[in-house]
Amino acid sequence: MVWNSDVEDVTILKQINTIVTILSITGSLWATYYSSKTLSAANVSVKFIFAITISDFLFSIANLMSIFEDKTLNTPFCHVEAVIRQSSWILSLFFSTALAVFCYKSCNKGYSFDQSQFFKQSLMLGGLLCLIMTTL
Amino acid sequence: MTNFVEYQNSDLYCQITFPREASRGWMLTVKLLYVGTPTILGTLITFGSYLLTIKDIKSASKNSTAPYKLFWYPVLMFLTFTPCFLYSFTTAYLKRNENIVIKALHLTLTHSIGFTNAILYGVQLKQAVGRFNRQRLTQEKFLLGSPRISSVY
Repeated sequence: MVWNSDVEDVTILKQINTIVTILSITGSLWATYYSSKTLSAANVSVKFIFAITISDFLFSIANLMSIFEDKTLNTPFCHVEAVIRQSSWILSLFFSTALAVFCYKSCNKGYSFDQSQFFKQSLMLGGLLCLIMTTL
Repeated sequence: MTNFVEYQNSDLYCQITFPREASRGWMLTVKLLYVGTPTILGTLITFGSYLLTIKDIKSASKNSTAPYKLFWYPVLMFLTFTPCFLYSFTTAYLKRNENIVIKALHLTLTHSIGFTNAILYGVQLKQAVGRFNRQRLTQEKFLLGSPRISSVY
């Protein structure tokens, strides 16, 4: 594959973006469907996985929007896309980290660890972080 | 919409952009705040948490290699977010990133986050649901087969 001109580069990169976006949307929808099916089991780790898949889906939506984006700078469409991208990216990273901490605390603290409380705190902290990072 | 940073359309998508006169130090600081710090902190905390979890599980059940599967989570996180980190910082440092390999890596690995997370979390979730259903079925069979409880049913 030869990447020697700007036009060719952008075309190839846009094709890569389109393929991974379609894969990403399909994957996150499938994972969201599976996790939503088991949400009633009141398993907190499933709730975390559900939150991750929702964030991933939103990130994929931002990527999908970029396919239809024209090169006009500073449009409201561009702002919406960027805010969705930034917030979903932060949330995905945050919930993956929270799930790791949750896994450790569940193993280490056992019954003294309040799982539901931890999930609620994570949701609030994630929302706050997301708000700060996108509106600053 | 934003005061601290400006979102504009770059080559491929809308992201944080800087005016031409912005200093390299300012660009790196903003990228460190928005991309670097969350990525580094997230990956380190995830890696540390799973490392401690594996240590706990290993001390409870020796000779088991199953806990090492947990390492897939931080590894995936590293693979997903490192290209984004590299792309952001090389763009801020060089002011305009022309490196097509980093761009392609960033698009392929970071933008496929939904797909890779679906493989890791989704497949494991599906297996866990299957296991849970099998356990429930066995439990129901046991309860129905029990002479004391079968009279209740």
